[in-house]
Amino acid sequence: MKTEDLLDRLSLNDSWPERWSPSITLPLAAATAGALALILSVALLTPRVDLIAALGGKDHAVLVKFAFALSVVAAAFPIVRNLTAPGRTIGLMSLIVLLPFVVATLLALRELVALPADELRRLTADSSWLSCLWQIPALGFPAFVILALCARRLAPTNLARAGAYIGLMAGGIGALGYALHCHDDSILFVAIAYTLAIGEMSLFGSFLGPRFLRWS
Amino acid sequence: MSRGWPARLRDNAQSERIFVETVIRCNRRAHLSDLVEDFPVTSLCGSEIVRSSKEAHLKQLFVSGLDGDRLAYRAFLQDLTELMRGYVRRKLGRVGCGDGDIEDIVQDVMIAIHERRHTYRREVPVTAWAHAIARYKLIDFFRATTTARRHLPLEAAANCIGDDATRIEVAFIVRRLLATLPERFRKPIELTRLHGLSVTEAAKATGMSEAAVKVNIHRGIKSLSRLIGGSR
Repeated sequence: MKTEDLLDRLSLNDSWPERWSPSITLPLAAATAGALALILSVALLTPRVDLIAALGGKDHAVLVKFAFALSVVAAAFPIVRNLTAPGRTIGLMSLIVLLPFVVATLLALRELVALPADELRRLTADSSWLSCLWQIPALGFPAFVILALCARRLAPTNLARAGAYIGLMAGGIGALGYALHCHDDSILFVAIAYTLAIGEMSLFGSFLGPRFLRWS
Repeated sequence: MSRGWPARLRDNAQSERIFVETVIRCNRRAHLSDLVEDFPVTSLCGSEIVRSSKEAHLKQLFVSGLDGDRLAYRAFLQDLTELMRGYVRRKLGRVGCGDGDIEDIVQDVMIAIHERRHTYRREVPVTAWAHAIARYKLIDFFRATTTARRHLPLEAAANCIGDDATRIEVAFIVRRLLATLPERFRKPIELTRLHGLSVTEAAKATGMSEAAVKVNIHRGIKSLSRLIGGSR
């Protein structure tokens, strides 16, 4: 086909893909993904029995976990938005995503210093390390699929990077769901296990991105 | 990068294949890195175009087009095509793609731009937005061709070269270039590419190990690239 004819046809075809307006698509996808992760967590993992009591506890451990997960999601969100709109740069803004991890690490260090040695030994011995490392990604995976399907409707141009940040966001959403179930109240645990699990998701996203996010 | 070369090639077409593959291989690396490298949008503003008057002009047409002015949109597509054609040609010209290929990609780019126009945010320069999409499409094209070219039918490889006179010339040049290679590179290439032996058979014939045959083919093609002048 000649290019001129193509342009004529394009300019006459004005079906507007309004439904996929970026300013609606991504927030909607994030909300759906978050709701799904919470539902899955309640249905499959069952929330911890003392959830309400722990929420009111004096060290606010559950709140810290929620805040951590939410801040990961919130920090990744604007970057995902920019990566799915061609021509936007992210530059130094991407450093924001490190902030929750830095804060968690600092809090964990403070805890580590204060913690007596035998308490620390107990923590390393009977914690839910392993279950955390696979349950967060498991809860995050549906979130990743939802976010990626929506991102494809937009126009990501750097697929690996977009995948990584979508993975990060999905990891945060998974952590949010997992926090309902997680009965380990140490910030040290959150800083290490949650970070690893979310990093896992991000890495996974960067591998899947080039295949999964491809659009034409 | 896998080395899934087809085993059987005959006659002049084989030499053409080697030539095409060599040219593509030696250019491709440089080009892909050019493209894939994540340049900031601001760097587009240098040689890449985007004199601000042009940007303003395109933006005005595009925005009125998005608001429903069909004529403005048509004019926008027209002007942008020109810009995209220049961009694609700069990126692909050196790989030896014909005008047909370039026009195909330009059309792909324009379709993508049209279909993703809802992702345009008005605070972003139109040209930066369009270039990002064009770059994505180009990378897509490279990714597709790097795998597809290996399974390219011989006729298609031949079409890349052009008329008969050039083909004979290319065959001649490739043979002469091959002759300058050291024996250990030349033999495996000749056996597998020109005589259609498999790697195993070539290994038996030369007394090298299979791994050595593969490595030498790879090195030989690389030397050929250097001889043709594509290496950086």
